[in-house]
Order: sequence, then C-alpha cells, then structure tokens
Amino acid sequence: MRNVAHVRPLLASATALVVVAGLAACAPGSDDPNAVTIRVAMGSSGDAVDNNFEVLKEQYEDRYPGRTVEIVIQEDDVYQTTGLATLLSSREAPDAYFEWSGARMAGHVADGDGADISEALAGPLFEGRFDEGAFNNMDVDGSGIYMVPWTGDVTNVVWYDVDVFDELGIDVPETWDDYLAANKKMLSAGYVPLVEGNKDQWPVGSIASHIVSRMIGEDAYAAVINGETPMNSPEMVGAFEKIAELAPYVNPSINALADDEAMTQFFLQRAATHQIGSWLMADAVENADGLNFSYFNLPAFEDGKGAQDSVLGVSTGFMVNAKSDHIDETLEFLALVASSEGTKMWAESGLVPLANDPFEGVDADERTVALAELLTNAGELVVPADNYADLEIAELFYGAAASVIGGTASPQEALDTAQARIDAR
Amino acid sequence: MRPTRAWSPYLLVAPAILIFAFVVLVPVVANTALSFASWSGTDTLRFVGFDNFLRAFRDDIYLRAYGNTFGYIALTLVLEVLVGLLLAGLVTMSNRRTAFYRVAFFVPVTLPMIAIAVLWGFVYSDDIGLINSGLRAVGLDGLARVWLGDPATALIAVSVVSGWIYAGFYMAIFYAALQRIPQNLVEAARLDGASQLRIFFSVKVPMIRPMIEVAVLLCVTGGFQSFDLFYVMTNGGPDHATEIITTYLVQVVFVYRDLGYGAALSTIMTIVVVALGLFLVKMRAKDGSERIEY
Repeated sequence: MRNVAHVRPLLASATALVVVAGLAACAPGSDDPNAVTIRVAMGSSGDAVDNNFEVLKEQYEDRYPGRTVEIVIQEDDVYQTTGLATLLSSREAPDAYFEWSGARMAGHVADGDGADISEALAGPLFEGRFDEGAFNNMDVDGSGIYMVPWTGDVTNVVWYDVDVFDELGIDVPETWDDYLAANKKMLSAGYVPLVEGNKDQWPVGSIASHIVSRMIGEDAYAAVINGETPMNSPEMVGAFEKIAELAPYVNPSINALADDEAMTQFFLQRAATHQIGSWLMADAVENADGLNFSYFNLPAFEDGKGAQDSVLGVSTGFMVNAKSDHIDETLEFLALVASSEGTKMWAESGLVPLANDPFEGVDADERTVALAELLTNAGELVVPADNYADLEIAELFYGAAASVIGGTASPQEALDTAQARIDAR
Repeated sequence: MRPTRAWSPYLLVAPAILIFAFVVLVPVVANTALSFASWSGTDTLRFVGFDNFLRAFRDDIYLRAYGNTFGYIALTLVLEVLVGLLLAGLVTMSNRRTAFYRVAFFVPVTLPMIAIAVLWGFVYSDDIGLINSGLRAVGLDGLARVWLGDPATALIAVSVVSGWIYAGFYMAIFYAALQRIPQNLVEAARLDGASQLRIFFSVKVPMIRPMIEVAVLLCVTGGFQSFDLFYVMTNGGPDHATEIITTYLVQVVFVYRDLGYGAALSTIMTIVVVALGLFLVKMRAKDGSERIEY
C-alpha cells in the first residue's frame, strides 16, 4: 500500500500533463503550419489613423488566411520614450515598428533591430509606390534602406484661428517682427496669442530648432546639436533671444501642459494660435469641428543667416525588425500600408503620405495638400534636434528653450547651464 | 531538536535563497558590474572603470534629483506620516462611529496612481482647476498660479497629491496601533484631568512610537521609489524642479540609452538608500524604543 500511495500522485501528475498537452495541441491555429502572427507597433496618431490600421489588418488577414496581425498602439509620448525600447527588448518584439527617419532609425540599425529592406523596396511588392526622394534620411551611410516610408511630418508651423485674425485685421505675418506685432495685437484684444504644451519639452524644442537653424544657419545649428560647437556662443544666445521674445505671448501654463492638451485648447478656441506639426490635421478631423483655422510657416528673420524659407520636418516610416522570423510576411503587410488604397486612407485621415500621388482621388483637406507641398518645396528641410544622434544634447537644448520660454532663465543663463552639463559628461 | 540529516535545514531554506538570489542578488551584482561599462543595450559593452561614477558626481541634474528627493521625503513625512497620525488620532478620539471616515481617508490608496495623477492635473490646472477657480471665486486672484508649471510650487504640489494618497495608509497603520493601547491608561489620564489633546500627544503617541518609526522608515525608503506620480504630473519639469532620481534614471536609460551610466546612478542610489535605512534602524535600536511594550 505504501508504494501505491507514492505512485498515485505521480499518476495524477502525468495525467494532468497529458491533459494540458492535449489541450495545448487543440488550441486554435496551433496545428496550422502556415499560421503566422506579425506584430506591428506604433504610437497613436489619433483615432482616425488608428482605426485605419484595423481596416488594413482585416484586409491582410482576409488576403492571407492563417496569418494574424497584432497592432500594438501606445500613447505617443510613451512610445517615443520607454514604449518602443521596451517592446524591442521583450520576448514578443514587434516585427515592424513605426519610427522617425534619421538618428533614431540609425540607432535601431546599430542595435541590430533594423533590417535592410532595399531589395524588397525595389521589388514588385512596392513597385511604383515611392520616388527616390521619399527615402531621404532612411539609409545609414549608404548601407541600405531601413524603412518603408509612411508619412512626412512638417514639425513646426503656426496654426491660427482665421476668425480671430480677420476680426483683428491681422494679415499672415511674413517677418518675425510682423509676427510679434500680431501677437501683441492679440494679447491687447484679450486673446491668449499662443498656446503650447511643453511638459515634455519637445514642442518648444521644435520651435527652438527652427528658430536657431534660421538664425545661425543650418550647418551651424547641426554643429551645435552634434556637440561640435558650444551651445552658449553669442550666435546661439542671439537666436534664443528670439525665443525669449515669444515668452510674453504664451500661456502661463506652458511648461506644465502636455502637447495634446495645448492642441485641445486651440481647438476649443481658448488661444488664437498654436505652433505644432502637421499631425494637428489628423486630430482636427474629429476634434476641431467648427473651428476656422489655417497655418503659416515660421516667419522670416531679417537678420537670420539660414534659409528663411526652410521647413522643419521629418519623415516617418516603418522599420522591419531584423530579428523577426517573418520578414517577408511583415513586408507584405507594409505593402498594404503603402498601397494606393492605404495611401488614400492616410491622406483622408489628415496625414501627408510619402507614397506617390498621395492625394489622387482623395477628397483631401486643402490644408493637408498644402502642407505636403510645403514639405516638398522647402528651400531647406531642417530636422528637430531630437532627430540627431546625441539625444542628451538635444534634451539639454530643449531644456534650455523651456527655461527661456518659461521665463525662469535668460538665454545666456539657460545656454550656459546647458553647455556646462555637456562639458560635465 | 536536531535534524535527522545534517543537510535538511539547508534543503528547506534553499528555495527561498534561490528565489532571493535570482530576484535580488543576481540583478544587484549584474547592475553593479554594468556600472563599470558603457553600453546602449545592444552595442558592444565597453569597460570604463569608474568613469560613470565620477560623471555622476559632476552631473548637476542627478545631484539636484537627490535634493528634490530629500525635499519630497521631508514634505511627505509631514503630509503623509504626520497627517496620517493626526487623522488616526481624530478617528480614535471620537466616541462616534468613524468607519465612514476611515474608509474615506483610505480610498485614495486603492485608486490607480495614473488616474490620480490625471485627476489632480485637472485640480491644479491654471484656468479651469479647482484650486485656482476657488481662489478666484473668493477674490484671491493674486494667489492663483500655475502650480505644476512654476518651479517654486511644482514639488510641493506633487507632494500634496502624495500626501492625499498615503495619509490614509498611515492613518490605517496608526489606527490599528492606537486601538491596541489599553483603555485603562487612557482612563487614568482622563481621571487626572488630561484633555483629549494631551492624552493623544502625551500618552497615545509615545506608546505607538515604534509604529511611528516604522512609518518614517517606510516613508523615507518609499520616497526613493516614487516615480509614477512625478512621471505623469510633471515628467521632472519644469526646469528639473521635480526631477527625482527615478525619473532621471528613466531618462538616462530609456531616452539616452546609456545603460552603463544608468546602472551607476542606480548603484549609487542603492548605496544611499541602504545606508539611510541602516542609519534609521540603528537610531531606533540606540534609542531603545524597540523595548517599549504595551
């Protein structure tokens, strides 16, 4: 009997194992040799865009039976900072993921998380979908192309309430002085001239990137952000004085407000202007009903050394994870994203697709079309500081801009502090 | 009683030691080793000696994060522990039923931190926020400010939220301790003519002193672990006025992807927290307060 008592638990355990194994074998899809799940990760670009990915997922799953797409959408700021990094280091790393071209993309390539997809992009899957220019900033020192281009983002324009401008008789300013005068007029009339949400520092950081590149020239700006020249040079201080000139006209809560909250304030007409990128259009589709708004590019600085018709912008795309077991299947999904049907969906959602003929057959908002033209006709395309390789310098640059716009430091003090921190590294 | 086999005790504690090793010891050793390297997470790991540690002492943001963390701890000692103690005193002082108040004070502890942070973000809003609206309604417009956007008030504002959450937690601890005080001592003090206030501060508080010391220890060490409230409400801003060690660590590791430096910063933090914890424990033992019984 003693022996039997020992055997019983063993038998029970063995039976349980067999049952569990049997159930596992019966799990849906596990007996299908063609079953493939691909994961696509991105930050949220608004409900309209997010829903379009669900539509594409359904199309893909219908076209390729046995395949499943998991769309992983995170809050935009989370995705940019901790979200994507965490996903990429997880066991279920995404097969494809959204990213900005340039330094961030190159970082993933260096880390072994970005596949060279030049061959596929030149093949039948993407045939005729992109012009050569769409791949700007998507290669790494000529070693290959690492992104399926998706959208172009103008990162900094001034959005304004047309009715307020009409009411106050303000024309679209062409120079910085005109712009300051317009802000003064709005303030005198009781409006909040400019609302910004700079809690995460990049919104004003983007404005600062554009102002500095216009003031000291694109190459000099790049040298500062690359750490090759000091941040507290007289030229930089001069450029930051322009940011200080904006301080009286911004909402007092600027450094406490999140970027999307500031956008909402503009939509709710609590401020007359708002500086942010072209992605505002995607949110405006659903949230700015009744608001008569338009935009203009950052006005020219008469004493600026850079190209005064420059545009601050970045291109975005989807990278394919080099560690993915399903690269071909992932590219087939991304081909849908870049297809004419997909492109049409993005354009209708207020985005500026990088694929060819982005607005063909689309009842696109004229502002979206004009933004695309602004991007393609830019005298110089400047990228924000956080698109350069050294993100710490970019953050220090953004921090200095935040201090100046928040009125807690003079341009000289803010830039001296930033340079001291760079030197201490 | 002696074990039948000499190795039996080791076998019994082995699972606990193994789990402790995998969950605590191995990560601590790995993190310390990483502190001496430069690594982005995927590139080639490079030995840099003490560079990361030396850099930490030159990093004014990191040093400021310590100042902010200690400031936050000082504020929460008042807003969490002291307020919790006073609340516990109030709910035990009354002869009436106080279950409703105890539950009400404890509820914030059960709410998700992110929801609380978002909720209080609205309370602190400069235009539609409860505080500024209230101030303006009573004619104190001059006191209205951007609570989370002003470097002078941001840390205090976040600490108040922390106090709102955890005062109820400490109240629950102190309430349980106060309930254990023999009633005859309280009655004796009352017969001697002591007021409720005097009984609370001169009889009850000294008797629950060990519990207060534990609460202080929890509050101090917990202060170093704070993150979510700061991350959602201010993200370390404005001007690093609410930058605490953990928010800066996240910045270094996940934004700058400087894992070696991040490991050095967390190693230093671990040393500081352990040293502080040992100091507090030693103070308690030296004081002899552990011997107080009731």
